[in-house]
Amino acid sequence: MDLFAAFLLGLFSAPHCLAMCGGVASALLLGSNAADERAARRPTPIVSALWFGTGKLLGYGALGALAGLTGAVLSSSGTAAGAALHLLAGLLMIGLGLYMTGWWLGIRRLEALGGRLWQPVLRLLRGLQLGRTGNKLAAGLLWGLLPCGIVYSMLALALSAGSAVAGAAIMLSFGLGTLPFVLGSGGVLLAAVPLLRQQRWRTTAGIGLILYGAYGIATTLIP
Amino acid sequence: MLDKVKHCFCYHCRALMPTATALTLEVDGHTRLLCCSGCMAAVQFINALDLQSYYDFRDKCAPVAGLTAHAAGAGQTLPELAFADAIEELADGRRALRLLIPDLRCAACVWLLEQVLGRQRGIEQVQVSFASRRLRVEFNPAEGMSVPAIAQLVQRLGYQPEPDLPDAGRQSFASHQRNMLIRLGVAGIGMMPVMMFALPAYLAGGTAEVISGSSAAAMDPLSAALLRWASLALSSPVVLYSAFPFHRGAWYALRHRSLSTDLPVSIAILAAFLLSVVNTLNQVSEVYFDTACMFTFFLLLGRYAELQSRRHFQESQDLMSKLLPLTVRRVNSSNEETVPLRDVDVGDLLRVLPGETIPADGVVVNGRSSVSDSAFTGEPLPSVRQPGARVLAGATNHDGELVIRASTQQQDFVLTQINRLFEQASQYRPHWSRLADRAASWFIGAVLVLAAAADIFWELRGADNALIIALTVLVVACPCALSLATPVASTVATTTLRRRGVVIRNGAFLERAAATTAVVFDKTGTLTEAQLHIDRIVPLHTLDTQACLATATALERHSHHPIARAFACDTALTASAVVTVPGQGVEGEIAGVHYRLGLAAYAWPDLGSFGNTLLPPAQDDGLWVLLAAETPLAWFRLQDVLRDDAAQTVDALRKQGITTAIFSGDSSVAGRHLAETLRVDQLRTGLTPEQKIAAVRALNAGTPVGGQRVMMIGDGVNDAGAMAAADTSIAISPRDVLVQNSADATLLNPNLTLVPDVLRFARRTRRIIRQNIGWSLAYNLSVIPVALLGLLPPWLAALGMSLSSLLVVMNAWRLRRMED
Repeated sequence: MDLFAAFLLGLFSAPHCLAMCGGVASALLLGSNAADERAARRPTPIVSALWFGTGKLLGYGALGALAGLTGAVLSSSGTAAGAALHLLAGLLMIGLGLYMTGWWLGIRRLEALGGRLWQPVLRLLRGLQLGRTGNKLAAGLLWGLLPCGIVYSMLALALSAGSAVAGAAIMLSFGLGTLPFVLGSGGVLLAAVPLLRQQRWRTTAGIGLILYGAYGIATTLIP
Repeated sequence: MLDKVKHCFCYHCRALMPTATALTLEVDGHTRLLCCSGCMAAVQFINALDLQSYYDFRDKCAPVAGLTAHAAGAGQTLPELAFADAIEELADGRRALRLLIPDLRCAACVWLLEQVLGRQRGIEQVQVSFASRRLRVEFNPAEGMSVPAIAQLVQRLGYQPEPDLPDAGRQSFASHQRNMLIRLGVAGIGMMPVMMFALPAYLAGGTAEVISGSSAAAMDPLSAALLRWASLALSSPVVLYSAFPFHRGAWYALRHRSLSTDLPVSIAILAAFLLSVVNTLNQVSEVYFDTACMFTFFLLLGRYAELQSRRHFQESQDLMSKLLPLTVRRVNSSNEETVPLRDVDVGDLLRVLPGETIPADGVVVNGRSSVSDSAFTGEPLPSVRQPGARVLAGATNHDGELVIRASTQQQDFVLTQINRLFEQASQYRPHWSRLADRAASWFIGAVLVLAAAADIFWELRGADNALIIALTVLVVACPCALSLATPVASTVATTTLRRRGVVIRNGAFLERAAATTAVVFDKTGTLTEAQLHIDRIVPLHTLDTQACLATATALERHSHHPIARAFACDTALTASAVVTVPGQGVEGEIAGVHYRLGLAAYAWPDLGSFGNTLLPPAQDDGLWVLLAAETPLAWFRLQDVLRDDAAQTVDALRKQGITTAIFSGDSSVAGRHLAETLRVDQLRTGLTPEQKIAAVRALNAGTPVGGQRVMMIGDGVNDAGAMAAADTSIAISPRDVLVQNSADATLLNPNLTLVPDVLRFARRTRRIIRQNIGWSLAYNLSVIPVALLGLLPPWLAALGMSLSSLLVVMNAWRLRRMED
């Protein structure tokens, strides 16, 4: 059930992802096409997009596994810690829901926090040549680490998942949900975007998230 | 509108944000404003990978700077009238505007249009389709939004919006497609529960012993009856509504006493359904509602695939016809007015701004700009046009402002002519197609007989499912794929060629060109640059060089032969009663004296009587023409240069195993020189038109090389006879004019190397058509015996049918590219 929620969340965050990651996706594809042409190869945007997407998923998966593992270690020290993690996850979900409905944008502060953690990643990126497949994968992976409020909320969910595998699975489901829109920007899928962008959709999705977070908190507090 | 001080755009995601809360980042010495740390990270990410050019690319696509700069409301408005037909009234006073944006270039454009338009007050929904380059905006006039305002917004973003007018053809196509989707949906929704209802019956040992080896408990009669009635209710719309196109097709075919592929399909669906209805009424347990539904669903799926294959063609048609603007800027002596394109007359002066489409065929009278003809020639590189140069409607004006004088009206534009030809050619039904149709009709007859025989045979053998076996035979043998095999492939191929600047006049061109074994070039204007110049004048009489040239120029002024263009000098002389003799020369009167100019044998037939003194100095290099009155007056030597790509083209043809030949009417390039540069198999110069025809016929009939399929390549004007004698012909059109010619196909892009490519493509088209026919025949013939033996479940028959159609369509789809 968590996996499905994560997937749906990925889908509903499409407008945000499209504005932000859509640009990154276009830039990456542009760069890899140019690199392919320099190497006198026929550019294969679809294949490149798949490599970038796979990298991004791997990045998400790694983050999720890390969060899941941390969560498992923390909660093994006592049930209180586990309950606290569930509460945190629930609160973050509510925060994200509020962000989607547009009622409270506090979750953005979390992004600012992540911005600092982001600097070392930038150093890894410098001078990465996009012509090689391995590098495409690497760029995609680092792309997955881009600070983003939605990702952090999902990580909180992964934190309370109970194991590294479950954490990775949650993040992968989320990633799969965002991927079609981010990679398909310009393609057929764009037709669906205006629909997703309509405020009542976002409000519905946000309220759903708030309820979901509240439900998580309630089940933690009331055993 | 926007308050520029308080609001700004995020550099990365372009969200509108309060300037006060913006984050700042130094990138390459510029300060960039960003909406959130996520976007800041994204900029850093892109920067770290050295991909900053993305932003340039994006901004070139649609400059936001332009938007803010123009936000005050500069720029001229488009007349609302032009958009009247593209507006749709919606419920509660809202309206929808449909725009076609032919210059929508990339995903970033789509994104930007949505961002900017979606943010405006009064705009409720924005849909941009990148594939069809269309924009649909739903807006509310009550909130102050209007059509000109939207058009202006789109314009400010750097696009040229045009009303997406509901022309009959496209609209019918769209409604057809929608209709098909609804039928498909109904069939799919109906099919699923009906199949589920059929499952217990199967398991309970009802119709098919195949599934139930076990002796499952028989269902109680009441629930079995209930399931039958429910299936009847659910499958009725499927059979009566979804499958209606099949029934209608079958009915029309029968009324015209012919057999169409719809007939066996319709019979199979209706028979399965009617038998089930009768059994339901009679409380008999054998019902085949599921079979009827599956037949309908899968066969509709095949039809849908066919429909989709036509979309490629339809869309390229649309883009072509939408290329021209609806209104133009007409310049008068004092002022400038906006008038509809159809009101433009010959001689009108039109102003064309940078980035606009040239609205009419004409001549540049003022300005200088690079113009690209990619819509005609597939050649993307622009070339510079100055006053005096011809421009064509539909070409793109890139960087300068031009004033042009319209030279024809819209119905005579080269673009209009090309579109007419294209439409004409695409309506042609190729030989293979007619053959397949004839075969299909026999085939259907045979299938009907076969199915009836199978039914009788299995009834006699006492099989329960005799009728179902017969119906399966009907479905599996339906030659849908066979009848699709050719038309789909030739439609896609014609469109592909059109995009590369090859316009087919005769629909049979592709199938005949595939068989070509010999290519004959007509030299004038084909292998040479067709820019003859006079490099020697030898006076023979009292008339001096200048006077001779002036006399010749006056005569040639009336001729359209390439030779005529070589004679150009300022002269006040005028010729009257000018007669052009094809392949010989021209004659006329100047100041009462009768002159002849042309080949020696024509200008002065009894030249020999003067002895050798009057022969041209050297016979074999260049073309010598003689000017004569009462006596020979002067020799002119004309020279032409070979085109750069001539040798390359001949070599490419030889590599394809094609015999090459030059049959030329003149000898403007020295014969020896020609033979050295181009290694053609046959070289004949100085032929009269009649001799040319005879030479082509000789090639055709088998002397001296053996029977050849001949393709003639020329300019289509001076060699019309030889072109008609050849199996196929291609005319190479000089830049900027579509010469009215008699050739089967015209290259709008004067690039000779396209010839071998076209031949290869024609063969590839033939191969794909053969593959399609081979595959569909093999499929039909191999599966029929299996179905006759009762070994094929009906659902598999229906699925196989639609898959074979799909395969044929996808195979044809490969022709979307000219290269392998």
